[in-house]
Amino acid sequence: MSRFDRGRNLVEVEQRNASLTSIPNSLINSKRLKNRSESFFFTTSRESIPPNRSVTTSAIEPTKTGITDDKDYQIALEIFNFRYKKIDYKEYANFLGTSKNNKILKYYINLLEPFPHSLLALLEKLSERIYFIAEAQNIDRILEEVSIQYINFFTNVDSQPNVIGLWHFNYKIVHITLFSLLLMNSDLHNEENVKHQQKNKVSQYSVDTFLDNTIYAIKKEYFPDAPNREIDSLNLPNQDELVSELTSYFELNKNKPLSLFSKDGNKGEGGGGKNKNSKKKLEKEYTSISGGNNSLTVKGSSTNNRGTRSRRSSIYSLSHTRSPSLHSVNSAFSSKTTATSNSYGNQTSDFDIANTSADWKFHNNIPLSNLFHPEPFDSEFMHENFTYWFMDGIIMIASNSNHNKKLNRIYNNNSNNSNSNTDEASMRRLTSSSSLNSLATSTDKKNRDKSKFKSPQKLLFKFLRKSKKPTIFDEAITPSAFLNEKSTWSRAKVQISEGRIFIFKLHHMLNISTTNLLKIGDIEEFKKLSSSYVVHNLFNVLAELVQENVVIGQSPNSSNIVEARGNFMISIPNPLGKCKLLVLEFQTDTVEEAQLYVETINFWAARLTPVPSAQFELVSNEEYGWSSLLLSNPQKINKVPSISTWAPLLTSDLLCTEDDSIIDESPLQERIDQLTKFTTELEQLLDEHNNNKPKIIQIWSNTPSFDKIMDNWNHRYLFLNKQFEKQSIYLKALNKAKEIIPN
Amino acid sequence: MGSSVSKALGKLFGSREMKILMLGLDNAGKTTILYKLKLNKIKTSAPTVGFNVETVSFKNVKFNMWDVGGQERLRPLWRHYFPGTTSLIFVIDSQDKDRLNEAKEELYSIISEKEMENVVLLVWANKQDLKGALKPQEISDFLELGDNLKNQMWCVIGSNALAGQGLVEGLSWISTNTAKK
Repeated sequence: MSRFDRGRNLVEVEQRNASLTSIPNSLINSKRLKNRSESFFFTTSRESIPPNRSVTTSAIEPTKTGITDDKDYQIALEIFNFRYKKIDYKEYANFLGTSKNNKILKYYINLLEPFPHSLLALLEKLSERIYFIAEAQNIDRILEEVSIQYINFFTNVDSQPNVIGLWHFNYKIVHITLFSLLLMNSDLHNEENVKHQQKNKVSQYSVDTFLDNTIYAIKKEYFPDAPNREIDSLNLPNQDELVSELTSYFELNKNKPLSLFSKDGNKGEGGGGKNKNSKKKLEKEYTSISGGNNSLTVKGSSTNNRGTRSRRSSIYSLSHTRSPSLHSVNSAFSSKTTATSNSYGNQTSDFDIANTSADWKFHNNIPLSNLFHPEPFDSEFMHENFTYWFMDGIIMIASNSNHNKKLNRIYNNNSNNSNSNTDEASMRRLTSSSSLNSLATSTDKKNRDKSKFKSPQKLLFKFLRKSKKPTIFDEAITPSAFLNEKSTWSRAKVQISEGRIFIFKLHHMLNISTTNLLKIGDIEEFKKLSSSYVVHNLFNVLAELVQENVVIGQSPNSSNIVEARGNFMISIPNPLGKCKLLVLEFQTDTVEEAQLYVETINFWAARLTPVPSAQFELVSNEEYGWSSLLLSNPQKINKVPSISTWAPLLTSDLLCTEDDSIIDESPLQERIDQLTKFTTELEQLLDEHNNNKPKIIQIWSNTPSFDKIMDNWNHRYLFLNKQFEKQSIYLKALNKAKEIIPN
Repeated sequence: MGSSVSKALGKLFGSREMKILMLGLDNAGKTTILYKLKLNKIKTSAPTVGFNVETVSFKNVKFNMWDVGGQERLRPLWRHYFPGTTSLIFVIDSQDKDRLNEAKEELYSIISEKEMENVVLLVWANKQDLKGALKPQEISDFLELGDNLKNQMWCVIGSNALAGQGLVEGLSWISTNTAKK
């Protein structure tokens, strides 16, 4: 590098500092002067401070600089000493890396001085003082600042030109190298990535890849005007030394990942670390890299601390008090239950609890999570029966619906089951859908495992692909028990509350009248009286009153088709990979009661289910046969490369049933607004789609693609229509409920 | 299930993993998306110093996602990750109109790399929940993808990372279109 180049880069650094920083030069200069004497021997003082130990203000003597009153400096110091409470320490790096916190970042990096010569050691020093997992851009900014100060630091150490000479006195090259080292660390040690590499038999990041990658990026910076094709043929002035230095970094990092700062203990966590090098060995290694000049000590961070990572345990219990609402026992919204210990003695971490299903929680008496955005009016209706918020009663549940049969065929592989057993099994299946439920017996499990019809794996594949016909939207849902004279019905306590449906299927032999059953408030009592029970959230569920669509003449021999009775069915989309749709059928004493159940279920479903507008606004270059470009210029038909098959995309609501967590917290009015807008748009889309049909036929008739395009048109029409119907039902339910809310 | 269908499904998804680069300007919502997508992940792997790399599982389909980014001078370092990349996800803050041009430049600088010319491109027009956010069609028009990407599959989907809206749709679209390749 010429003296001119060196000078240019130094000027660049200085200019950058002048423009970006407002740190008083007095601080930098005074610290530099102080560090001049320390830079060669900094195993003393600051370097010997364990990474998690706080340093006092006096240790860096900021009072001399007159900046102790600077708020940004105080924040930087608090972060440095792990005392900044406004954010979690794991967010410190993201906080410092945010562009608006640039001044704080500069102070913070300054506090890290003196710097070691080795860039890997520099990264290690940084990662020991801060939880260094952050967003890429934030990491970028932090590393850039480190680079600038690193060059500045050694520029002022007169007798150390070789240290930064290796990096061409250019902070940008230091920046590139630091970033590359961090990429290398992620590539070599991130568990997810390592697993991915192993599974796909992709070779692990090699030293050659690292060198090629880093040297290439440095060359791009060093020879900014060189064309890409010539870059490889160019050589950096000190390329051999650079390669040697980088190689040693690679070997070191390969054997020992960068330490991850942990506030809870003195030991850093090596991410997926394989080796446990001793402190002494690492000290020696780092020292040797820097030709003996750098005596940075690396603390005991090499210890892989994964085994000692703390897991907070919580023991839950439930006060078994009588309550009219199941949620009042189980929901955090309705009541605050005392967490002591439950009868099952389960101990689970918070994380696990949050990710378990409502079934499992309900069975184990663990409070269910809140699913919706609570508003002031909710408390007024939450436990009032026969409102849109709450329904509770003893009604009948169908035992042999076609859909239940289908479920049993898939999961139970027991064709000899009687109707009652079939129903029992399907209910059990419901409760065990999360794989965590303890109700399903081991025999059930064995039967499921032996299923000869369709392996669960194939079902998963089937569901995961982009929906082919029949999609869940095409699936014809018709009531079967209602129309079947041989249907059998069982009594069940069915409660709709706070976004969930609770179903207790009562024992066949139970000899308690419905009136007396309604007086029982203790949920545990109902659990005992039931042959099976299930709780399901109402994400994306649709309830329909059978009598709205089916009118049938009364038959003297039928016990089911009684005009006065009400029937309703609910369709519950199962999580991805499981049975597509579960349909349950119920019968009430009156049509009005069934109607109330339907409206309550749809009210909650509408409140919980995100409006699936994303795919209707999708813009893509896929051609299904009706793009505006094509319809306005039919002559371009020959330029269409290929016709894609139209199918609806999967949506996030299909994932909702698996987790017992809040997905969308839109307030009621906001959801009404969203649905109003969405249904209007759907209506327009339907009209537009219908209007396009004649044009499409005209353009594509007598072409080989005609059938495919008309299939596309038809599938989209059915999808739009189904969505419009469903979202309109949701909107209607919300508007009805809104009417009874007092102003 | 017929063997041909099984074969097709196996070919489509099998136990294959897809390597996806997720890029975008800072504050676009990449990390929020990444962790929102980890819906059904129970076990958390040991964290590693550096970048967010996560495998998002939708049952048997695994998306190995890298949340990378940074300044132009760092872009040559990503070269290593380009060849094996199945898809590029570019996240845009739909409300931040002041930085749309910057985002556009960033996007084109990446997709103009030779190794990226065959990957499918998904643009998440994120933060659709915010007032004044540009709709996917507006983002698409601004990016001029239709004019500039003639031989590459691309798609713009509106998303709201906080609510999860549009995310599954996006991965579903990638699954379909990478399978076609």
